[in-house]
Amino acid sequence: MTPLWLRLWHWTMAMLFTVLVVTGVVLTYSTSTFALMNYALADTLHQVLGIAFSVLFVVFLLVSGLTGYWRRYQRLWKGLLSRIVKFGGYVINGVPVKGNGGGETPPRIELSRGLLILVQHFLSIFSIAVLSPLLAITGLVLLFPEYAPETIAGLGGVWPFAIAHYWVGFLGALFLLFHAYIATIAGFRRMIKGR
Amino acid sequence: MQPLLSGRRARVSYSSGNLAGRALARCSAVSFGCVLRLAAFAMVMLAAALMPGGQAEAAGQADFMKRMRCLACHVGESQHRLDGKEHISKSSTIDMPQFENADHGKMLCADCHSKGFTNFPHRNMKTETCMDCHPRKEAKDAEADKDYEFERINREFEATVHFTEYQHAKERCCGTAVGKVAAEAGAGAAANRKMRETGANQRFTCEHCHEPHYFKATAHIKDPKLILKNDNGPCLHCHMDGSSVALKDPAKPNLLAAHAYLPYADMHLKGTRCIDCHTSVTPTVAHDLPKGMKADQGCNTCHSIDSIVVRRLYRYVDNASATQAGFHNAALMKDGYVMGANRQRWTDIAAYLLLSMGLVLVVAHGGWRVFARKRK
Repeated sequence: MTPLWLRLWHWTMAMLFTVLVVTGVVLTYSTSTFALMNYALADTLHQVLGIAFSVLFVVFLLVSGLTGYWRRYQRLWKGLLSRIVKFGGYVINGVPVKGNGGGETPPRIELSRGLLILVQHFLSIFSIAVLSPLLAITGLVLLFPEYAPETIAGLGGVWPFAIAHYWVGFLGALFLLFHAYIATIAGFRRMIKGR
Repeated sequence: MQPLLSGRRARVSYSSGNLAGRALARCSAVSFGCVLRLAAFAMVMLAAALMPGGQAEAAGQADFMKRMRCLACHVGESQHRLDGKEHISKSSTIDMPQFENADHGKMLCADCHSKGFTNFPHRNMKTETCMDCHPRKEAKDAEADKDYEFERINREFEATVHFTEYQHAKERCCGTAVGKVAAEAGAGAAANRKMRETGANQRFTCEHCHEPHYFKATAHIKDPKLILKNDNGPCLHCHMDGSSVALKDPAKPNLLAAHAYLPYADMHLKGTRCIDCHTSVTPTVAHDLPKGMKADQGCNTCHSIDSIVVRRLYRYVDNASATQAGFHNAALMKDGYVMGANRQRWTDIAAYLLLSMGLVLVVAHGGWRVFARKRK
């Protein structure tokens, strides 16, 4: 059963991140004569929602720690490597065929769902452990550029953080794409009804 | 540097003028020292007359003598200085090193101070205004002035609050008078009225922003940081917080508060020119000053890959829009990072490829799912 607080947090984060991706695209890819939406509005939204995103991420860490929900991710983490090895082996060597020295052939449905669930778990852990904290940290530097070094490698000191923020945000957008797509297979129901 | 009025009279540089000017630079205006300077001037004239030389040199010496006649009393450090601008307001003395480094530095005083200045005390004086000479008519100078479109500049200027607010006032002698410091008028409603009147007694002219003795066109400055300093100086002279000059902004501005709608207002104020937002975006220099929100050109005018900053503040930087180490508009990055303008080419390409591959994967897998479902 997925707890209610987590479901609420998940959908809030999903909405926030979607808007952050759109406004991030506006901030980066506008031309002098065309912007997908009002640039000033995009900037304000990006800053306000970015702060909300970071705060909610910290809230998630706190609540997970206090309620013991973090153990679920610990379990996922423990099984993750062996499953990656297992499915990696299928990709490299092919799925074992019964009677051909390969032992039992896994049912097709198990193969398919197993791979998707593996990708989904990997993406979840990657987004929580890597993407979200990096987004929050680089975003924080960009929010207070006056505290960034004056220059780095002879150029305005903000650029490494801007590039890092761009890349982390971009990988987050890719995560969103795959995560949403896999959800159409695995079903949204669990994240709505809790089971 | 090219003399702006070279068509009127050929000028020859004269190093002796520099030396004499610098030697006299520490002297103040009309005083006992002036008498000494006149004596020195007479000696220099005598020495020059005795010196052998060609015709051109003689012409140069003649110009030098004419200039020395004025500088004998009017050379010295400019009495008015401002942060962000070497010299702006009129004083009775000219800082020769600064003047000679300016665009009008090879002109004679009498080229502009054309009437009533020959004898002392000066009477019935007349000083030429900018538009009396510009746009210049001589072929080479006319070509140089063509880009500025002086008639358009004048039209735009006369529609601004700078002109309309003070158009009823008389133009002061030399057009550069800044009048009394308004704070001297004291406090209270009557004093405020007096301050306003003091300000309104001066017509706002080109010279209030483009001090003719020290003016240097951005095309000759080139360095964006110096241009920034040079161009914001005249604006801040009247519009900075607590300005007390005669033509101070009656709205008593608080620059940070007035620009609070900008993200990172202080960084915008330090890193951009006032005119970059407060004039219309045109291929040449605009002199209109749209009021209120019309002054806002839109963030993406600068925060974009075809940023207007490259075509305005960085206009004279070679290859300002060039891509270096993958960064577009790399010249901007030497002074800071401009979001949207300093995109990274390789990052962009990698992102397009990855996103395309991701979309292809999702669409292909989705298509396969639909196909497989139909086969069942």
